[in-house]
Amino acid sequence: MAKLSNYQLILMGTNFFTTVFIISLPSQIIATSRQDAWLSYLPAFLIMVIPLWMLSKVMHRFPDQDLFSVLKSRFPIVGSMLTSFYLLFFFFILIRDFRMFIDFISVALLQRTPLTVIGGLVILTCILSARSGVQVVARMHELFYPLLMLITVILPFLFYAGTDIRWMQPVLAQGVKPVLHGSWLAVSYIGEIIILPFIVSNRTFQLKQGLISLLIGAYMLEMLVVLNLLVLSPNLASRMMYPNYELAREVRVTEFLDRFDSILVTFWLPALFQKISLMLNVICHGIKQMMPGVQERSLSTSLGILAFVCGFWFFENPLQLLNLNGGWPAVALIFEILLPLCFYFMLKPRFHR
Amino acid sequence: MILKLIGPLLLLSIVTIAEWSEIRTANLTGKTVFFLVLAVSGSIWFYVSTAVHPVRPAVFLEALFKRLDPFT
Repeated sequence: MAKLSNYQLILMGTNFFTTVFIISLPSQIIATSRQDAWLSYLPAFLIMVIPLWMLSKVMHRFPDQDLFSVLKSRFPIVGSMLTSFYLLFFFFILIRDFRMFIDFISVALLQRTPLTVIGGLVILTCILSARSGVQVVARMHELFYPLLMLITVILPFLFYAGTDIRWMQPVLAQGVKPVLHGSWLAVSYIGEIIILPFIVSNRTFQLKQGLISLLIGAYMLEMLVVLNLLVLSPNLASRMMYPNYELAREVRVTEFLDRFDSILVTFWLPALFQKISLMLNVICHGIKQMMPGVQERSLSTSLGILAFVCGFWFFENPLQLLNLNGGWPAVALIFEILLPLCFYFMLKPRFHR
Repeated sequence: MILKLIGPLLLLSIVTIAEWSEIRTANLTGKTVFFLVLAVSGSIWFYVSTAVHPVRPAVFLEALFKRLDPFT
C-alpha cells in the first residue's frame, strides 16, 4: 500500500479536481451563471465536505486498509461488484480527461500534429509514470504542482490594470437558479477528490488533508473564474473553448513576459500528466485487489493502451465532451455522494467474541 | 484493409515484446488479463479505423445523460 506524506496527499487531492476542471468547464459555467459564476463554485465545494467526512470516518474503522480492500474484505461479493462499478467510473474519467488533454494540445499548441501522435506520446508518458507506482507520481506532484499554485497567486497582480468590476455586477440579477445550474456542472469534477481513500489507508488519509485540498482548490478555481469574469467578461469567456488559456495569453506585463501562456502550460501540462497517471494507477490497483494474480506494471501498459483507443472511439470531437457535462453529474454523484453515504452506514468491522 | 490491420498488430507485438519479462513471470490470470485487454484494444482500434461511421458511445451516453439533467 502506498505511503505518502501529508504534503503529497494534499497536492494530489488538489490536482485531482483542479487541472482538468480548468480546461473547458469554466466557459460552460460562465455561460449558465453569467456574472455569478464565482458564486456557483461555493455550494459544490461545501457539498463535497460531506462525503469526505463520511469516507474519513469509514477509513478510521479499518486501519491500514484502502477503500478497495475494505470493500473486498467486508463484503466479498457485493464489494467486488461495487469495486467494478467504481473502476468503470474511474476508467470513464480517465478516458474523458485523456481526450480533453490531447484535444487541448491539438487545438492550442500543436495544430499540425496528428491527434494520434499527440495521444500516443501522452499515453506513453502516463504509462511509464504509472508503472513506477503512486510514490513516484506523488513526488512528481511536489515538483510541478506548487508552481502552478504560485501562478494562480501571482496572476491577479499581473492583471492589475486590465480588470473591470462591472463585469461581475449585478450580483444574483437572474436569481439563484443559474447559480445552482453552475454548481450542478461543477460538483462532479470537484467530487473526484473522493479518490484519495482509494489510494491510501487511514494512516495517511484523514479529513484534514481532504479539507486543505478542497480549500486550496477552491482558492485556485475561484481566483481563475473571477479573473475570467473581470478580464474577459462573461460574454467573451462563455464563448471560448479554453478560457483560462486565453486569459493567460492576455498577460502582457513587459516585453520579456509577453508569452505568459507558455509559462502556464509548462506547469499545467505536467500536472495533467500526473492526474492521468494517477488515475491509471488507481484503476490498476483496484483490479489487483479484485484479481490478486495480475501484475500492476504490465496491467498499466495494457490498460493505458485501452484508454488511448477508447479515447478516440468514445468521442468524435471536443464538443461531445462538453455536451456530456450536462447530465454527467447525475451519474457521478452516485459514486461521489450516494455510495460514500451507504459506506458510512454499512461498512463497519466485524466483531468477534 | 490489410494495412489497417497491420498497424495495431505491429503495435501490440511491440508492447508484448517490451512487456515480455513481466508477462513471463505472471500467473495464468495475469497473462489472460494482459492479452485480453490488448486484444480488445486492437479490435476497437481496427473497428474505429475501418468503419465509415463508427458507433460512438458518447452519442448514446449524451442522449442518456440529457434526461438526467434537471436544468434542461
